[in-house]
Amino acid sequence: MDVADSNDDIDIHTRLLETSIGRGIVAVVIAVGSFWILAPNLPASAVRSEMEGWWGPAEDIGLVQDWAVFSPNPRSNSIDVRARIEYVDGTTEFWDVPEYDPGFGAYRQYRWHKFQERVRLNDREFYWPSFAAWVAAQHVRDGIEPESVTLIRRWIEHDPLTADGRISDSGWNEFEFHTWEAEQ
Amino acid sequence: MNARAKIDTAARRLFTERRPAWPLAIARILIGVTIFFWSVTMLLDVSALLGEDALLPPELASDRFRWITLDTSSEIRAALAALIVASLAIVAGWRPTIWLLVAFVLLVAVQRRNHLILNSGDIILRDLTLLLAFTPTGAAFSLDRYRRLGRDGLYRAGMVAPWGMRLVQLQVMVVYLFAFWSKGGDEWREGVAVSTALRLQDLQRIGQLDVLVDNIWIVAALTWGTLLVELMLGTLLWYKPLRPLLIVLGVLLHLSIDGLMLVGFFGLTMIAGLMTFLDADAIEQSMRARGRRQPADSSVESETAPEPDVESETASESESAAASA
Repeated sequence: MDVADSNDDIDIHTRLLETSIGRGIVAVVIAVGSFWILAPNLPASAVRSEMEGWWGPAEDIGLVQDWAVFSPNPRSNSIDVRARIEYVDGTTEFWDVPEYDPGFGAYRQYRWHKFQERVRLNDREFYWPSFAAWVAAQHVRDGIEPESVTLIRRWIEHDPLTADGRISDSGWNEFEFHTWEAEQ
Repeated sequence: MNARAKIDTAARRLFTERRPAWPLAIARILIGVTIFFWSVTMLLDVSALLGEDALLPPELASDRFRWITLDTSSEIRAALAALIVASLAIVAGWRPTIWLLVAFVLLVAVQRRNHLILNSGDIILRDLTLLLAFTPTGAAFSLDRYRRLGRDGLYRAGMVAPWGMRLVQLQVMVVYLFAFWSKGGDEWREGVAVSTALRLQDLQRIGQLDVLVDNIWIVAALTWGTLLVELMLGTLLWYKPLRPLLIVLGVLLHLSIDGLMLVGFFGLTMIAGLMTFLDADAIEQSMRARGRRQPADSSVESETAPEPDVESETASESESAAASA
């Protein structure tokens, strides 16, 4: 007899199929699991809206579906968020996201860019005060907090490639979207 | 045979007919390696991104269920240390089902501490970690198997029911199918989307390669090629004759995206998922041939692991060949 097939070598997942209760459990897991994987990906519709609560438990435990990447088109803006830090003595510094090496560091860098991508949005303004306060805390000089921190949204607009091979990218645009001031 | 009997037979073959566990073991090892690097890279930025004084304070963490509430830097570091232990256990194949569940809970707990820094790679990593826990990933190339069967056990895989693996495969195909489905914009239709995507400076890993953004022919080939590969991976991975080609195309797609863009752990995780589609029987034959070239482990042989005789080996192979149809 092959060692791979000896009876005590059968794993618990496979052994579940040897009893009717086990087969029932497997059938439920397959049915519920398949639904939780497939259904949240359905396009928006009245039916989907009706069913939305059905995959709530999956999303609550952490099984989330959202695979719309670069869609329907890639976004047309490069994105950056920086902060201008001003001190009482009139000097100014800038904070930018850390830049890591493109090898190992790339696996840290993407998190900072995701943060920038999300925190800059107008419907996320409740994140701005604590973010600006965090920047201020990183720039305490000789025990003295900065006087103010201004968050600046920066972006480059990218037009689609034309048929004759021309690409058009704007320079950096800037917009100040939040100012934090030290308590007097 | 009536229609119901045909469906029963097909379902049985799909979910219950046993086959060698090699593809699951390879996926397990790759997921373990990915969780390891995910945790190490996260550990380096705990203070700034996750701790009590991070840029997102604990009170603004995700309001979703978090399994374990982790608010302080020391709690997060402890969770990440546990994740590293879990990842090593998963790679080694020591009680992998339990450790995959532990890893899933910790991934969700850490990720929901700061949901603003997550991308699709983080989400698919925890999805596949959970789904792999429903499969017998330790039934091949694992410490558990080595302890039970000795070195001989490393060259042979357990024959396992594939029902859990089907959920992993479904998840992988769904990612590709809906990634394709959602790309309905004019830039994808007109074959120029890759040019725009590769010009996004916040996503560039090695800067901009001009030939990939302004040569209309290359850009169109890459744009439509991406759509075609995603569509094929989302619909044809269960079609056996095309499977080897599709796995290669999928791996190349991820390696090229990963090499050019800051997509985190998406590529590594999806490659791990693609491994569940590998031909189990081909790997089994290759490993058996390799095992036959190794000197015998006499202590194991005498206790639990006699060499298979010709008849039983032939039976085993024919069973797995039928199962892999």
